[in-house]
Amino acid sequence: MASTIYRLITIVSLLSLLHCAYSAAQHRFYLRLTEQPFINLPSDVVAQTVISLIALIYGTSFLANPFLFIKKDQHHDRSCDEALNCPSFITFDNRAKAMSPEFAMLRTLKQQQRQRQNSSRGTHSGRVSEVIQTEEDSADDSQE
Amino acid sequence: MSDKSSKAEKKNDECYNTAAITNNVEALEFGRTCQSCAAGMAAGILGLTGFQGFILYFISVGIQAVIWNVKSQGNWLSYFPERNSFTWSHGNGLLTFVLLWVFFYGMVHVY
Repeated sequence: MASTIYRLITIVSLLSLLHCAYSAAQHRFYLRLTEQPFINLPSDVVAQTVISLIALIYGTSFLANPFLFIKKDQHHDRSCDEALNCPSFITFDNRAKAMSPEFAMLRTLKQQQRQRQNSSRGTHSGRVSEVIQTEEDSADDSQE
Repeated sequence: MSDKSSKAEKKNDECYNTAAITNNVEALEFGRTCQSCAAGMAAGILGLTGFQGFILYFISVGIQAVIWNVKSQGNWLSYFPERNSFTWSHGNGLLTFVLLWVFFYGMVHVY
């Protein structure tokens, strides 16, 4: 966008300068036809020439390559947060998850599973396994 | 002697980016050439002769130096090792200036 503006400034000022040349040539031709001596150019031609000269120098200066920082430190304009950002050191699996309420729900679910496992282990001991199994079946029915 | 050696050490301590310096020098050359062409055209159109043409050339050199300092945002030494915005490459500039000066004077005021 900026380059387009400077290119436009350059082209317009160059055309204006050529227009000044043509105007001056026509002026000289007119003086030659009317056999008058040449003293100076009309003031509007002089003014347009000077303005076109300044505009052309301005446009070509900014149309050239932009100036680059010449020190070795090419990132002298970075902020401290950008410079100290280290993505490789970021850890996503840490102990902070224990603080979340979802983890508390997981903990209660695990405790319930452990209780069920303990009660099922109790059934394997002794001769009264059948009685305990029947009791458990009734308990399941009551739960349902 | 010690001052000179310390200055040399200071200059050696500066770590310059060669590619950036080359880029900036190319920009200066481009600017100087275009400024010489523009000044030559203007001098020819205005019909200047003798020292008046060279006065116009150095006025345009001053304008160019001001514009370059504006382009570097007043921080010239961040982009160039030394302050040379006025004294850059006048040999080629003057030759280009005289070429276009004579050409445009001939086209406008002679033919």
